[in-house]
Amino acid sequence: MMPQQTPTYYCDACNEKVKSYHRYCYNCGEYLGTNGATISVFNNSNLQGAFVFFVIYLFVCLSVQFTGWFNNYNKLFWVEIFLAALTLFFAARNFSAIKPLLRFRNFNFIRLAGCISLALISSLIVNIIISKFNFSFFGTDTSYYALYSSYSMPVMLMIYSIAIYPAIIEELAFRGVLYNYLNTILDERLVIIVTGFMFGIMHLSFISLFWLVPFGILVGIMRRRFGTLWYGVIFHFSFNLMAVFYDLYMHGHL
Amino acid sequence: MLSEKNISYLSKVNALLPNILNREVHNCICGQCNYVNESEYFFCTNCGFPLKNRTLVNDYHKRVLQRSHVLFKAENAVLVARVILYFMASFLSLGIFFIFAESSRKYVIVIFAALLSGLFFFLAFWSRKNPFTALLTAFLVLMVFCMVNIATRLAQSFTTMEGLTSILLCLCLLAIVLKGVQGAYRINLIKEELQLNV
Repeated sequence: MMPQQTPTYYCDACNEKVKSYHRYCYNCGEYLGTNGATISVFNNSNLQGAFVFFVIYLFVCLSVQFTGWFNNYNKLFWVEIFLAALTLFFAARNFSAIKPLLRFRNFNFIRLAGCISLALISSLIVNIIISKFNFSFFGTDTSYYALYSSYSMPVMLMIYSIAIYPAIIEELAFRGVLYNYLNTILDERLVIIVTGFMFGIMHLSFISLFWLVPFGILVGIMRRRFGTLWYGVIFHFSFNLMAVFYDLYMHGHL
Repeated sequence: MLSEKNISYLSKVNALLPNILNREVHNCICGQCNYVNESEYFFCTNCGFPLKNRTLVNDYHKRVLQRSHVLFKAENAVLVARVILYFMASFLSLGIFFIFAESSRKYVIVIFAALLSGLFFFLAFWSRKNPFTALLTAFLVLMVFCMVNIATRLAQSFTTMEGLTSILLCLCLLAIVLKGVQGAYRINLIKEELQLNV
């Protein structure tokens, strides 16, 4: 058996060789860990990456929501393409960390069925509550179908745009890219909560925050527990697919 | 008593053991933290206290004092950010009084105000246990709310006094919470350096 090589450490101040368990240099007395007095959170490259990614996403979502520039799907399609390209770019930059998450590990049919059932049931409950809430307080309910009705195969387009696209790209963005960035500076359980909040507030709907944050946390837990993004993608897809069918059913298109 | 056979066996085993040169190890106990260091060390490898040159003791105490001062400032920044979150939560909770208004949407406003107040109370309370994570989340939530506030009335935000005041207020709140995030990030590192309970 080959003897294991122990890494060699040096003091940054005096360049003297030190042992891995030393906290201070025996030669010059300098602290060997990170100097908390001079360090700035703004210089942390992972936090910078997460912040830049989040802010670009936020600006795109704000311009879609609050400007009239993207009022039809012709234009929204290009927004989707841009966000997908952005997510893939950031994922490619951290591909070594993302790659293990793309494998469908520990595949289990029962778990998958449970995941889909939970998504469908919770989506149905949330959609009924939101629909009732909208009718009670605003006297109306929003329809997704109206945005796609002028295109050929509107239902297929809805399924692509509401169920397939967000399930893959949002999961890769929030549970892949952002999760990995934050995981380098935070405890993993806290990362799940923070990415859950980020996922919730990104949708720019205050009332949705109260089911989107738990949704984000639940999918984050799945990513941590199963070590793959795919259960989250399937959960997200099933949840949104149920929302699509509920919308079609409620507005008489099914 | 060992038998002759066992003694000869042990002597054979001993012969196979590596021959350690310089078996005598002189240790030096740190006067500050009682950590056992090797005799040739100039500083304690656990707390950085000078073991040989006593003239450096003052420098050591100065450094500890400087770190404690930075720690105090960081804790203050976190405290201010937490107070701001509590203040916002309390202010938003006043929205409950909209129940007495004559608006047709008063119930929506009351529910929103109560939920938002609860969210900021939760974040402020959470910052006592996990200051960095809670304040980072609070900063992100606040940033999104500020941006939504500006974007919903984009034209007025930059042309009216009300809009500009609102932007200024948002920036002040964000700056205070961000300072808290920076402070919370430093606190753990300084406590680790000073070996305080993290």
